[in-house]
Amino acid sequence: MIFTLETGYFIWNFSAWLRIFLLSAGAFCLLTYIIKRKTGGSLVNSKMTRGCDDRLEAGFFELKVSSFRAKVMQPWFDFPFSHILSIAVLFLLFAVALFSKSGVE
Amino acid sequence: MFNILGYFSSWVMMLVTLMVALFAEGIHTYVSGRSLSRRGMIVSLLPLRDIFRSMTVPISIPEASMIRFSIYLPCFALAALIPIAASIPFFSFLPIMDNGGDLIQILQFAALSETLAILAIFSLGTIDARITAERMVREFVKLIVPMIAAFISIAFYYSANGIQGDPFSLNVFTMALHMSSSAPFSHAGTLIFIFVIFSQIPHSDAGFGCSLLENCEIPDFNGVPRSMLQLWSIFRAFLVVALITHIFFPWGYFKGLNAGFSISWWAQAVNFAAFWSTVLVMRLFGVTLCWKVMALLEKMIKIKNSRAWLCIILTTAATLLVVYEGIKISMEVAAF
Repeated sequence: MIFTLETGYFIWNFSAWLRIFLLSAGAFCLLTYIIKRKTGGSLVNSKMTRGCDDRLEAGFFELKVSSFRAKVMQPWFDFPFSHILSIAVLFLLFAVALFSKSGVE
Repeated sequence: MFNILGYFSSWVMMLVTLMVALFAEGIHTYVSGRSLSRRGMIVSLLPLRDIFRSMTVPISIPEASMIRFSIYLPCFALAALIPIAASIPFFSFLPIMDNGGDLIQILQFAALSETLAILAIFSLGTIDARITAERMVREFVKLIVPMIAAFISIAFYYSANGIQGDPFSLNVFTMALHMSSSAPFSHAGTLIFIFVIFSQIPHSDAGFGCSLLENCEIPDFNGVPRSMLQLWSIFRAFLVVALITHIFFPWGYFKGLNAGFSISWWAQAVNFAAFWSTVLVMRLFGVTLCWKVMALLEKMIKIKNSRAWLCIILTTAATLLVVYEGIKISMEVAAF
């Protein structure tokens, strides 16, 4: 597995980034878990937005996928700025490709 | 063993340095709160009190939520900010990122962090949460696009200057050639970039700070995950300010700043103090000023989505200025 990506233009040390991300995530999750254990928690009844998802008679996995698509993916696609975001991502990839190609010696 | 200890101490050092963010946010909200109070608005003069108080209350989340996502995704969003902090040299004296931080990779982690935070809000499953999350997406696009444009056009400028190595590295940007008075177009473009980026740091109002879920937004969501998201939003804003300050800091006036451990401890301490004081001042006054000027411009231009149009026009103008300077330099070099 490649842990460091190095060209003439950039050096990305993936393992360093991953280590510090996982250490931080572990520490924060542990803190949240400990506080949750000490203080407890409750579910608040409020307006549901699952809509037709609740009427689906599907398997557990299908329900989860459907819920993920409706609640997480669809709002992104519905968003009027999604095409600008796509252009920005493409622009970013283009720049990376441009610089990395130029950097090959 | 010593390496692990050093690594852990650097990590703790970063968290301690991040406390400057809370200090800056506290001062900002206190000062603006007093000003708003005089005008008859009731504003908490202890803005951070609520964040830390909600850590100790029982967690409550809406029934419609995806429970584990809502509780733990804020932790991952906050954790994704830490590698960005590790890229900025003064966050930890023992460098965790050995190449001075690559701006493209920093943007990737910023996008990851933002995505995780937005997913955490979407996972609450209520209409209010969805409205908040959609607003966060809009704010993110308005912030990240000028940052991408700034980094790429300035990197292009350095490439045209014949810089060896990674033009996206923070170490290269600290040469500050793009701010040189002999390069007026890139200087002007850079200043416009600073204005656009600072003015797009997410906030509810210039009078309030940049904490997410202020003013009792999403009241069903409470406890430690809410605090984590609020801390995340404060740290994110502060990291943007620190990153931009690092890129546009007047390095030429602080000799030896890039020399790392080869300079004396007291010089390092002075540099550390100078840098973080600048970041603090930029957060308190620079960012607030940019917010207010942008709000003023938005009011003056009476068209639909005037803020988005302003953002697009200014970003394009700044990009063209910096790229033009780069092309001009490369043509001069070619002619020579």
